Amino acid sequence: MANTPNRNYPIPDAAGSIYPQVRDLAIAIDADNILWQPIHKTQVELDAMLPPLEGILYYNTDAHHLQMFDGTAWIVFGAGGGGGIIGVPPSATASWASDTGVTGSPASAWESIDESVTLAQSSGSNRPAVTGSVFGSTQGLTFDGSNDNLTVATQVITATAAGTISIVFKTGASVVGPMVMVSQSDSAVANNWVEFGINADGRLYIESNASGTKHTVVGSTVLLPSTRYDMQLAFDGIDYYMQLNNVEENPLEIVNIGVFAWFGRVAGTTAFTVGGTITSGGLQRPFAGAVGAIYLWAVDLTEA
Amino acid sequence: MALFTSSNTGNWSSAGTWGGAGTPGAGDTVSIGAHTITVDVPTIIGTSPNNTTTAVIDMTSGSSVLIVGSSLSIRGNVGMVSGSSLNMVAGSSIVWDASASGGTPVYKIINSGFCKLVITGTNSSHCTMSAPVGFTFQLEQSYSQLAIAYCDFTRHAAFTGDGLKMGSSVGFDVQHNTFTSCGFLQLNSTNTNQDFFFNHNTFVNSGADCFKLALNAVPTTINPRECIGNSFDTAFTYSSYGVVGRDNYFGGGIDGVGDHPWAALRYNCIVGTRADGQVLDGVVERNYFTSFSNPNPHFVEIRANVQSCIFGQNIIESHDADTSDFGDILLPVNDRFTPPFKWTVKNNIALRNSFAPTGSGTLITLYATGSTDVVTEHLHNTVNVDNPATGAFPRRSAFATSEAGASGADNVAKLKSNLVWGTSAGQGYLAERVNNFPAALDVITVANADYNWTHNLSAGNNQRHYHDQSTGAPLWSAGDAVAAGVDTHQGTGDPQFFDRNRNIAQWAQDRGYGSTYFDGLAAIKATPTRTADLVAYVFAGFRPGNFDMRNAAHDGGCPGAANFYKSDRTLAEIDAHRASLSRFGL
Repeated sequence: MANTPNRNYPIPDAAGSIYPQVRDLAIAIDADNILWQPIHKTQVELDAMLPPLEGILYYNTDAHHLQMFDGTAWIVFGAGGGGGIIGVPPSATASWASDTGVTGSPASAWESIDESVTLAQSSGSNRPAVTGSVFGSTQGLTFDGSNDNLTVATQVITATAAGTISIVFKTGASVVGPMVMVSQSDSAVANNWVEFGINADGRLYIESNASGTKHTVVGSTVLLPSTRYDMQLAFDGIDYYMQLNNVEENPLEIVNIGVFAWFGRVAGTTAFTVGGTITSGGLQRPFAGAVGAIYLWAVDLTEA
Repeated sequence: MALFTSSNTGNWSSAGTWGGAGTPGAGDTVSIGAHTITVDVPTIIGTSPNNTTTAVIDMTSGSSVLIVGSSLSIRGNVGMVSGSSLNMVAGSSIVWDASASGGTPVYKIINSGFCKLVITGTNSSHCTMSAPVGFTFQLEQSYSQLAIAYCDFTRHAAFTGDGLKMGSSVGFDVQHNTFTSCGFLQLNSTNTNQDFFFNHNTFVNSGADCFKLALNAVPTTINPRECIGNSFDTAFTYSSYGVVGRDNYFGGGIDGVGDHPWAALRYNCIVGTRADGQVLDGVVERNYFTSFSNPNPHFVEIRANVQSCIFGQNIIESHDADTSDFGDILLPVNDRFTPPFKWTVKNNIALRNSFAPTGSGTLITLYATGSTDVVTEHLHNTVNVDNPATGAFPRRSAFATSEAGASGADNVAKLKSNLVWGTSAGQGYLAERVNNFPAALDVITVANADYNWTHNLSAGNNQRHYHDQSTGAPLWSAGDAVAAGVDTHQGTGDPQFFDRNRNIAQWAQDRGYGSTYFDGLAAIKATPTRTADLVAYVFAGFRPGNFDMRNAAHDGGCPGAANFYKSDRTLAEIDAHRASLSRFGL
């Protein structure tokens, strides 16, 4: 589902800073609250937008609801704590679903997340643990490197030529991969996926596998164990740009880039997974470490 | 003068500790049984013998001297045996004082066995151990426990034997210490399955050699072996296996002994002032190699019998006059490795010489490899080859073969997507054969020499910027580069680097550390972890902005070491997003 953003309108607030434009927001996974989460703003920050863009969508942290600007006024979804994307702490039966009030223009920003999508939490011992104070005072989802994962049984991002991913994560005691933090795969076959993770050298990588033909881009930094990082990776359809802790990963090592790929390239029986890649052989390359948040956009955030 | 013998565990200042007959002090000696004697007040002990054999503190098994934030001046040697222990906690000090001895004896720990030395200073309250000006002390001994943190050592003598040697099944933990005006120190172990930490230590005012790390046995477990965050002001000797070396400043280079590889050597600043070059093996990545006042710097001399080495993402900056030779950044020498041998050289940046109007040297010179079992691969390197057209060493290349003997066919198995450039027209070449050894044909594999990018190079007598320095004879059996079909996808044009002038001096200026090459070195010496920033800074400068290069490499990327620089990329939205992540403690 294509975005038709009204670009090049950075929105200054009272302090002169720039807000990101909502057209870039596809989905966000927030491990702190175990939910799909839009960007948070206070009422003061929202009031400072002069004027808001039509279709802009935020979670109001003062009013505790999701609100969208329709070009004239803010439309509020839900009341009190009921708005936005609903999350439930992990349990054997927990699930997540997007809010039924998200319709119209904002839905396009949320790509293929619609009312029917459910984030299926693995049951029993396969559930990642919610661990406190992993990211400062903030919680994280801790994956055991064995079988923990979270899965959406559908495409989260449909075929897009460009995209951006941002992950807040903490490495485990060992950073010897390959292990995958987030992936979209065809769960019915063995070799069809796009995944992002840490390779055998301890470097970040993104890899697409089209029926056994792999295309891989690898970062330059060897990650340290038990260390917090944040990473952003943008793809404009030709070039990858990756930064780790606000420093460009330079050089990016390209292995058989040939066919460029992004998350939307995987079709079939799709699974979007946090904590590994699901194939016909089950969960592959399980992640050992913690995830604080994952953000996905259907556009390259670095495009002017 | 009196000999005091401990009768109980207790404070040094308590007569009851010594049988009730007063407390030992200057001019006395003590014998300590299986007791813990706590130095609770400033204390002087000893007879100032003019020798290194007389113990003024004589300890037996189970005995311990514990200094708790006080000072102990030892006028003589300390006898320790297995099971005895010397302990210092935060704020404590020891002075080995031979000033009244009438000579210059080096007071030390004597006797035999495996004793314990445990010093637990803190970041805010260091311990100290020293000798007066004009004197030294010596801790060389076998240890059953060695744990030293936040201690400032001054005037420790050079080791004469095995240095501080670990006993069987014993590791060491030596971190956050300073060594000022000390001799050549050594930590030594042949254990295979212990933890070894030598991290965040600083050497100041050392002699020609400051430290030797001798973990001489191949590890059999994954226990950590770390040499991280140290500042070595002079030469460091590496005689170990499997050590992770990271974030160090090697001010006098690294002198490798034997065939010992590192597990990995990353983010170090290595100042190559040693005439015989560095000897490094294993994984060597994202280091900053530099050299000054060396007429022919050999930054890395390949010696060991490691058969698969990676030299990647390093920066090399010569600050030399290069009066003896052009310099060789990597120099495999045939008598110093055993085929089959493979060296992968990728994504390195050889800067323009910051002292002389040349490049920093050939990225690699195959000195006399002479065997088809020797394989080198060169991918995505960026090499400056500025060379005057005249002079002692005119127009040299990024890749050189057959210097002292014929290189073998396919020694250069891959030569792809390298970026070789000069700052003005008519500089050096892409690759060359140094001497015309007739048998040295097809050293560069025809099928795998392609997609290189050139700028401002000389044409070369083998065309496509390939050159024979001697007679102009062909480099391949089929003839020159055109006849052989070499580098058919070669590209040419100004790379339009983001900032090609980046080096350590400009980094120092941009970061506020000064403005000169030596200011930059001083900044890293003070804080070795800055090397990572320096490497990233230079890599950012050497991003090509020429759109013709964007996907011109053999792998679909950009030729050269660094990423393509997309000039219209904007990070404002990424930055705004990152600002929202502050709650994650980032």
